[in-house]
Formats: sequence, structure tokens, C-alpha cells
Amino acid sequence: LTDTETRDSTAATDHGNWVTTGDHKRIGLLLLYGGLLAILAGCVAALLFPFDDFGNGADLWTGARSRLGSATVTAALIIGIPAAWLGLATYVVPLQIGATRLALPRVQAMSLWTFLAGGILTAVAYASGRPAGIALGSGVAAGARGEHANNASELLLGALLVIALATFLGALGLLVTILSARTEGMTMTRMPAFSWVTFGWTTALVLSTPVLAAGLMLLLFEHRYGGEAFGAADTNAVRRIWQHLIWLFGRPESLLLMVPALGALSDVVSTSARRPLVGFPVARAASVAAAAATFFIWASRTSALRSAYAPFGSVPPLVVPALAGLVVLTWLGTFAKGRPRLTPGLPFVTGFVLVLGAAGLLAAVSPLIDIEDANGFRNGQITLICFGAPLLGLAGGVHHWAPKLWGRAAPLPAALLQFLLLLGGVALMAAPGYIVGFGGDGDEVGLIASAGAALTALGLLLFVPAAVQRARRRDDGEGDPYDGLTLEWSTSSPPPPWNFDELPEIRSAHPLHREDDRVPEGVNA
Amino acid sequence: MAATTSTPLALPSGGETSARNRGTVTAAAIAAGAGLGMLVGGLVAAYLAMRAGRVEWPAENMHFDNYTATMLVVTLLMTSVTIEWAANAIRNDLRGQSLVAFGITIALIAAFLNGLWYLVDKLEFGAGAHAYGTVVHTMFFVVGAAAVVGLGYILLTFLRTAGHQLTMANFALMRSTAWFWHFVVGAWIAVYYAVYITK
Repeated sequence: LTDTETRDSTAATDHGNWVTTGDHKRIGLLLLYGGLLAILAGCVAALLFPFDDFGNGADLWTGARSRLGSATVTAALIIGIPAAWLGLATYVVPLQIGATRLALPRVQAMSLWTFLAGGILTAVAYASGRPAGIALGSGVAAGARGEHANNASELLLGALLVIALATFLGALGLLVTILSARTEGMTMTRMPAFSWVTFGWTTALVLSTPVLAAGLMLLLFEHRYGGEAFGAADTNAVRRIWQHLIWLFGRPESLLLMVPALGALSDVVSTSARRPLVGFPVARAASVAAAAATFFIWASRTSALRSAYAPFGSVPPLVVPALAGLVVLTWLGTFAKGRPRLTPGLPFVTGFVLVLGAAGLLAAVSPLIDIEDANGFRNGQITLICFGAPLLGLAGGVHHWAPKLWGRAAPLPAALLQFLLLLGGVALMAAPGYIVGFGGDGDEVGLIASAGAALTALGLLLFVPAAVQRARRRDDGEGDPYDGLTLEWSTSSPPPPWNFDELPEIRSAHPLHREDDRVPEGVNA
Repeated sequence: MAATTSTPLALPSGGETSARNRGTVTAAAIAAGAGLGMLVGGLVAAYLAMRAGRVEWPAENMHFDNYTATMLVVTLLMTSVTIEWAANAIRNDLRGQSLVAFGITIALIAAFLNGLWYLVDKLEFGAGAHAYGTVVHTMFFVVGAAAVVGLGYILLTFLRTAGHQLTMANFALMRSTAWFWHFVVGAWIAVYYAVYITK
């Protein structure tokens, strides 16, 4: 096909078609909307906490006793945030690397519709009963027939397998696009921060998700037919099998939800500071190393079981926050040497750092404080690190690329209001864990978590007007309101179906950065 | 920056597109194969870990049909050769020879699936009989499912070859089909090694 034919066929094939589309922008938007909807559904489930019968707040999120708690975790962390990150990356990464299309558009479309099927199956599973014995955060898989087996469990296991497949396909499609669809001149080292981080976390997902699928398959077979692969979980040996299978996925996943934010917010910072990231190679290497380090974290909790991997267990959990801290330092350096201005994405950078800093501080002082309930404290930490930080990073990324997604950036006051709602919501959702952890009264924690969920849901709903405006095609805003530095800002907003009419010469990760924009060394604007 | 439709596109030319397609295919096949490897690797690891922690392993009523299992390994190794034969025939523009190689490959895969079904049928215990049964049935199921997916992939490539859609210059699909099938062969060899060699 000639260039013109390719462009014409792309435009003709996808015009007005959202169901069978192979256009990465439409698939990305649908994945993003689906992910945000799933997070919203999780918040709605959390709103109902005061009416649930879980009693003690220590088990609020683990699903050990609460169907609603388990549903919240599954909807928000297993479906929502991964789907939303995949959606944002599916939309933005091809634009950042100068690709006219995805390398495997049908695979990415299959990921989208498989996510939908998995989401529906999950909803049906929770509606049909309390899935017993599938607390993904738990170190023990309660399987087998008898008291644990029910239809809801089997349905949820099936749903989780479908979601694992969707996650794998989405990550595979993005990874192959990054490896093979970059435009001329866009070498791996010239990719912007978000694309680099996407390369890291999709690789980790491609490798870790199948291991989760292996564990889920064994558990599904056991729930369905019996067999006691995990049922006789009294011995350390059997517990270890489940922990390796689930944690090889679960541990990376818990931090991988946060890692894409490092890339997205790095782009927000460099755009806001009007200069390339200070120490960009360091930030890039640290972000990808953080993604790689998450892959080895599965060993961290096996020390409790006297595993042979125990000596290696304590290092990776320290490495990941240290690498994230290194990236944050490059952000500070960029602000110091650039000419910072307030963009809609910038407040979320602050929120992300605040949330991670709070979690880090609490982890650091925890040995000095008398923690009454370790599980409760852990739930608070998980809420901040696995839900709060990724959600704020995601919202920051969506605001940053809003002109690409929807044609125009959100007004600054609206972005600030959304930031405050999400930050407050996250803090309140994490509070119950800490209250219980520090020996506080656990009777009212459901109410506090519900208040947090309400604020978070309100914050998420603020995306609706922008999406509606795009649907009405009122894309009369500026194409590039930031004077962006990376390749996606060289085309219109939203981009045409073929992405680029022409591309600038690419000599760095910031091809749109002009020499006269550079701030002399030592000058702070 | 506003978009205009009149300026020329910065798309790669035909030659570059072919090179890009090859890169895509290689990357996709290796990534998908790595995923399959991790799936089977996870199951084999679970098998070995359970084997280390159980008193009764393998199950008392396990009948080791080493002959059939080994023949299945040999069959799959033959398919690896024949699928490469098909790929090389397309690369050398020998369509007739390629179709013959495809036919032999498909027949061998059908024989493998038949043999795998026979092995499962002869296991004499179900997936729910004991932990050994659960993990062995799961491993056989995964390999069988991967082989069915691979067979579908090969049939698609066969039909496109017969329809003159794969040529010397455009045989990326053939290459990816062969890559994926090699990973399936590797998956069965891993399961065979765990169940029939290490027991």
C-alpha cells in the first residue's frame, strides 16, 4: 500500500465504528472509560460498607469476610486501574513513538472486549454469592470442596482467568508496538518517559500474568473437582506453592499499578517545567528498574515460611521505593532548573508524592510504634500504595493528555477540585486500616471508608463532562496548550485517524524542544 | 498544531514496512511464547514443589505410559521440522512443496492431540482425585489448549498460503506461526520431563 492508500484505508475502516475498530485511540479511550467505570463500581461497593456484616475493620479489604470489600479490591485493583493504565498507554504511546497504528490492533481490541467479558463475569460472581477462599491478598488459598466451594467462587475464578488473559493481551499488544512500530529516528533511547515505563511494566505483565493464570487454573480445578492441591494448606510446602504462584503476579502487580505513574508524571513534570527532565537517563533507568525489581518481590513474604528464598526477600521491597525516590529527585531538579507553571496535571504530581511519602514514612516508623493489628496497618499501606498513588498518577496523566483524548484541557479550577476530592477520598479510604492497626476502635471504620469512597467517586465523575464534550465533537480547544516537548504534541488534538500528517526530525526524546527554550544553567525562573 | 490533510504522510515505504512486519512478528511470537513458557513453567514448578512436599507422589494409581508419551515428544519434534520445511518452501517460492509440508504438519498435530487424549483417558483418575491428579490434568489441559490454538494458527496460514496470500516477500505470518508452534512443542517437552522423567 502507498502512504496515501494506508491513510485512506485507515480513515475509511474506522470512521464511525467503535465496536470493530482497530484504531488505538478508540480502543484506548474505551479501555480507559471501562477502567474508570470499574474503579467507580469499586467505590460504589465500598459505599455500602456500613450495611455489610464484616464487623471488624481489619478484614475490610482482604475479602476474608466481606463480599463488598473483596468486590471493591477486584473491581478497582484487578480490573479498574490496570485497564485504565492500559487504555491511557494504548492511546498515548503510539503517538509518543510516532507510530501510525498499533502493531497488533486486533490483539488490543481483543484485550478490550475480554476485559468487558471479565468485568461482567466478576459482577455476576459477586451478585450470586460470597466467593469463598479467593482472597488474592491472602497468603493461603482456601480451596477444595466442602465449606469453601460455591458457584460464586468458581465464577470469580473464571472471571479472574478472563481478566488475566485480557491483561496479558493488552500488555502484549503494547509491548510489540513499542518494539516494532517506532517511527524512523525514534530509537529506544529516544522514547519519552511514559513510553519507556510502559515498555518496562508491560514486559513484567507479559511474564507475570501467565503465572497467576497457572495458579488460578489449579485453584479452579480444585474448586470444581476437588483434589486438595491447595486444600490441605497446613503444610508450609503447600502454602509456598500458592504464594509463589500468586505472588509472582501479585507482588509485581501491586507495585506495577504505581510504576506507570512514574512515567506519566515525568512527562507532566517536564512539560510543566518547560524543559526536558533533568537526569532523564537516570529517571528512565530508575523507572524501568523499578518495574523489573517488582518482578522479584514475590520472594519477600516467603521469609515468613522459612523459604530458601528468604535472604533475597528483604532487598527488592526496599529497592522499588528507593528507585521511585530517585525519579522524584529528578522531578525536583527539573523544577529547580526549569520555568515551572501550573498545568492541570501538576497538582496530581504533588498528590502522588504526598501519598507515597506518607506510606514510606509510616513504613519507616512502624518498627518504633506499637502496632496492635498488623493486618489493619498493612491494609492501610496497601490502600495508599496500590490504590491511592496509582489513582492520582492516572488522573494526572489523563489531565495531561486530555487535549489528545478529548480535544481540550480541563479548566484549572476543575482539575484542582478533582485533585482535592481524590486526595481526600484516598486518605479516608486508607484511614480505617491505620485506625485498626494502631489499636483504635474498629466499629466506625466502615463509615469512614464509605465517606472516602464517596469523595473518590465524585472525583472520578468529574471526568464525565470532558468525555461528553468529546462525544459531541466540541473539540474547539487548543491542539497543544502546553508547548509540549514530546512527539504526541506535533499533531492535532485529537489526532486524525492516521495520527500524523508529518513528523519532525527526531534526534532526542524531546523532539519539539527548541534550543531557544532552554534555560541557562543556574537560572531559576 | 493543527492537522492538515494535504501534506505528505511520514509513513515508511514498502521495503521498510516489510522489515517492520518481520520485526513485529518476531517480537509478538517471542512475547507470546514467553507468556506460554511462564504459564507452563508455573505449572511445572507447582508440580515439582508439590512433589517435594507430599508423601505419596506420584499417585499410587498412576499408570506411566512412557511409550505413548515419548512418541508424542517425537511427533511434536517432527512437526517442528515440517513447519520449518513449510516456511522455507514459502521463502523459496515453492508453494506446492509448502502445502505438502503443511499437510504433514497438520496430520502430525492431529495425531498428537489424539495421543494426548489417549493419555488423559488412560490416567485412571480424575482431576479431583488428589493433588497429583489436579496438577497433571491441568498441565495436560494447558498443553492441549495451546496445541489447539497452534493448530488453528497453522490452518489459517495454510489457507492463506493456498490462497496465494503468503509470498516470498510477505511471509511474516508464516514465520510467526512457526515460532509459536515451537513454543508449544517446548511446552509439551517441559510437561513430559516433569511427569514422565522426574515423576
